[in-house]
Amino acid sequence: MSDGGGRPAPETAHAVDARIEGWFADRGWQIFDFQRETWAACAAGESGLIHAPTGTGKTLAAWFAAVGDWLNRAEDDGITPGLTVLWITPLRALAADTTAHLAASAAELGLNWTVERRTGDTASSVKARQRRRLPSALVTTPESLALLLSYAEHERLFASLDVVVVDEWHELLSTKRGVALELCLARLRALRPGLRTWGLSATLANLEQARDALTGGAPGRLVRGMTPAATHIDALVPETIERFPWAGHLGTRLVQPVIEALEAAESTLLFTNTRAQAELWHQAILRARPDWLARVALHHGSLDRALRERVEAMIADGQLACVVATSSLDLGVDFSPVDQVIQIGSPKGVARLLQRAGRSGHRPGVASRILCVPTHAFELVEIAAARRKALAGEIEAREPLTGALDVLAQHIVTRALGSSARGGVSEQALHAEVTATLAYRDLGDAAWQWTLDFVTRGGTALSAYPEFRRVDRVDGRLTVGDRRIARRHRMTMGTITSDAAMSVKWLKGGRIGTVEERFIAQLTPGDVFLFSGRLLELVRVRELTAYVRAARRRKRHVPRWAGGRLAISGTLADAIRGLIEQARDGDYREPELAAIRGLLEVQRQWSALPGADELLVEHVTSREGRHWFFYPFAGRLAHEGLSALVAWRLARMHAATFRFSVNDYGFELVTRSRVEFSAAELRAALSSENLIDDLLACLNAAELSKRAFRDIARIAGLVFPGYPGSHKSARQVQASSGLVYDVLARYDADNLLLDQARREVLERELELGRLRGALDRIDGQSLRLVSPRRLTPMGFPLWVERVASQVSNESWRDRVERMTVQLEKAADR
Amino acid sequence: MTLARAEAAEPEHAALDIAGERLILRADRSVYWPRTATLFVADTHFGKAGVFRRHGMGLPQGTTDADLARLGAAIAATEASRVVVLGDFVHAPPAADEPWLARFAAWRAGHAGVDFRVLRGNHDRMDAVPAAFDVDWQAGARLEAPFVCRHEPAHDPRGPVLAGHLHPVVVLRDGGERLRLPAFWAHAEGLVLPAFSSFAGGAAVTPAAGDRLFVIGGDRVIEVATGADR
Repeated sequence: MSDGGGRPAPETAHAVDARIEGWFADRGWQIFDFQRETWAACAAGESGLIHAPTGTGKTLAAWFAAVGDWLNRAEDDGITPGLTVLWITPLRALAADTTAHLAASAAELGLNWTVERRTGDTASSVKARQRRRLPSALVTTPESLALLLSYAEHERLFASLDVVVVDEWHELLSTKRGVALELCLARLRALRPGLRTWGLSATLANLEQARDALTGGAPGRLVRGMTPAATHIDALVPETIERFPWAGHLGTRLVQPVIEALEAAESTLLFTNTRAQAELWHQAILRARPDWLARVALHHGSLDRALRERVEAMIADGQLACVVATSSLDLGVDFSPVDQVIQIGSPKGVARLLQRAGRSGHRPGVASRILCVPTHAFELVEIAAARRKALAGEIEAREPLTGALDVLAQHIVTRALGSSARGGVSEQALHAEVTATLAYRDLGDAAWQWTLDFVTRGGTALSAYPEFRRVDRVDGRLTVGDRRIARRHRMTMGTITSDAAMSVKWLKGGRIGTVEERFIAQLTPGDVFLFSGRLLELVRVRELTAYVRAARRRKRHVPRWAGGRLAISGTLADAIRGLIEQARDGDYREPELAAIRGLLEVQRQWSALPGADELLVEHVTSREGRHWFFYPFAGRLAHEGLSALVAWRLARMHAATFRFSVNDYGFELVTRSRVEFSAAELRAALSSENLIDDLLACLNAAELSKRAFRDIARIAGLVFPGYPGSHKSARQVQASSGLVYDVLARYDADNLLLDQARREVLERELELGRLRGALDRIDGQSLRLVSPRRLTPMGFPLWVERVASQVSNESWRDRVERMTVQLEKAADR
Repeated sequence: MTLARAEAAEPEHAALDIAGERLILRADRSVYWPRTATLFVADTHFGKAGVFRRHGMGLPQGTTDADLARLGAAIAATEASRVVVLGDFVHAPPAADEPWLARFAAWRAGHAGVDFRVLRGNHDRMDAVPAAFDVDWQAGARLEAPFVCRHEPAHDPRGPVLAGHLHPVVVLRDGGERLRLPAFWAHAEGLVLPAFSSFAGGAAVTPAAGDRLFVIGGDRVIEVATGADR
């Protein structure tokens, strides 16, 4: 079973404790091989990662590994042991459920263990008691763990820790929270050299890397968990298909067939990609079935937690016919009553699709099933592409982050704080701890020294930071002396994740949930928006609260929350290119491809269906000007960078100003200038030479970096977000991250956090890796330049995207509909 | 996609007539009143970055010096004989050893011929400033007929109110880009000045019908449509 390498599996040698055997037997359950493998490995002192597409049995594998190990080693004298198992969960919402499960099984085994949780919600009296003595098993979040490490008692509290389990490690892996956790784990390993770390993860392409990030590069094992019997991925194919699809209208046209699917199942999880879409579908379903008012619920990350928890409890009890959810329900809690999963819109990635499919049929040996509902015609291709990759077992990788200096700065302060009572932490010891992680293994000495300077002096000696106080550095040891600084640091530690969130409250009192500040910033009082299944009118914004009342007018503003702009994964894009080539060759075996054959044939006749070895560029002339449509299939983020780059390079060849739009398949450039570009010039504009310099020159790099700097400033402690009930004087040290960025750029331009912001923009906002990959691929492709007489089915959605972004009122819909009618007529001829 | 920038040209200011008086809205965020040779600024927030540094936030030194230089340049360019600060002169009551105190005193000595008055704002929580500042330090409103100077905008029957406090900014959108620019906001009760401090945030204004907004983009002051009349 082990795919961890050539070591002999120790399972034969390892005897499972009789109490654990009995526990399974009492339930009539069988112990899976992968569970035995985990237990034996843990008993042999190994760490590792347990991976499986669904949750089946992973929790028990890790939990009984830790418990079994304790049973083997310790004398169970009935005395409650100190902290033995630390269980990290990425979501506070999962902590309660996990704690209950672990506590129940410990009691059933007859262990005299205490199992408790500690999260941001835990009562302060409980927290204070826990700081005197932690329970035998503690369920907590990465942030709460970091907070514990900031207290002087942490050395004593973790002195008996044996095993750390990290649940849903794949969710943390490529995030700064994951990096922060890597640092905390390194600290725990320094305290407890024999500590074993076990992670639970969905399947990923880069499992070895995921394991190494978890274990700090120490050898560890990969254990493959249960694989479901099969995953069925089907598309709901509409009866009629537009040949000129557009993505902007969040089509709920398929609501009737979806209602039929809901009626046929006991309980359905209906996933959407955005919160806005979730709100719209929730409304559409209730409009079609008003009698389901009590049986259809909404669940997304902006809703108040109490409301979400109520919904989760109702799903578990089987009270709901349907829950409309976003990624907020991708994780965690086992919903056994759910027997159907529906995905609205493209899943955008193979891993996400499998994860969601795995939320139904949570029983070994039972196939999981997911029905995908396209919101426009091309999404049928994406669904077929996702199925193809899922069947081939090709799943996306999640790259761990490395070298983030903001997280490192925060951690250094935490460690200095946690050791202040003992004369501080030595720089040398801390350096060894930090560089033991995968995230900072390659940290250069200059970056390390700079970060130390940043927390001790504000910046380097080259720029002036007088009066600065944060961490004191004496004889190579770091301490925090100022109580106010200690207090503020602890207050801001939990803020790695939170985008500036605003509460939404009724004018008359009562909280509804939270939305991103950016969303509220688009609205003016009097505007109406859909939230939490209700039409609300914004009355006023005060501090970080948006006050609303029930709206009387119908006209509404659909919220555009962050996250609505998910790009398709590279894995999925590959498969889409393959399917389009297949259609070019007349192979329409895939049912989804057959369903949009009409559309694809129009594309072929008017322009071309590109093969994998060619880049299609369409040149169309219209009353608006000259359009060029490029189709690199690299995902919308990479296309944003590419379109700006190509426009900038073309404009240097012949003076012209361009407007552009992007989607997952390609991008459009349009100009009113009377210019023409030869195929050779287009190709030159797509060259991968001078990529970084040209990108930075053509993008408003400062503005983009400022956006990335929001997070960095908060994590590095350059801005203070304030906290509930904070004294008014806290406001005198509040400034926006944009302002801080400007001051640093002007008076300390070499500040490495500015560098980091630029790097994050390139890597994350523009997906530099994919952008470069696309250009490299294009280098090897032939450029196929065609001049169709009008917009093609592939070009049309890009045109719509641009029209929609230019015109702010509703009139763009009329324009789009008029254009659709014209194109349909032309296609009929 | 970006606003065109006037390269190294003469700054372009804007003129605004209120109550029969002409005011010059300057790109350096000050307002000049030619008839009385008075320069108005609001919300200088001197010493702000230092407050941040003491609280453990690494802001480099430079903003206070730069703002003093800008104020000096405005005095030189207009040949103003009086400066009136419309409140929030300091960001927080300074400690006795705050380095910017000496630098302000030195700057002041270099502009000794200029009459310097401060109307205390909500941040100016101290009863006096060092004598070396040579500053008239007073609370409340101040009549500069026909204008009334206050820190916080309010209705005043005596005349149009010149005020600060709000740090008005205007958000301009161009395609996907968002620009926040400091602005002068002329409304029925008077004029609100942008914060003079280069390390001050701002609040987007919600103009009423008839209001006028002048944004500062680089070296230019440009009147923009308020959108409230539509």
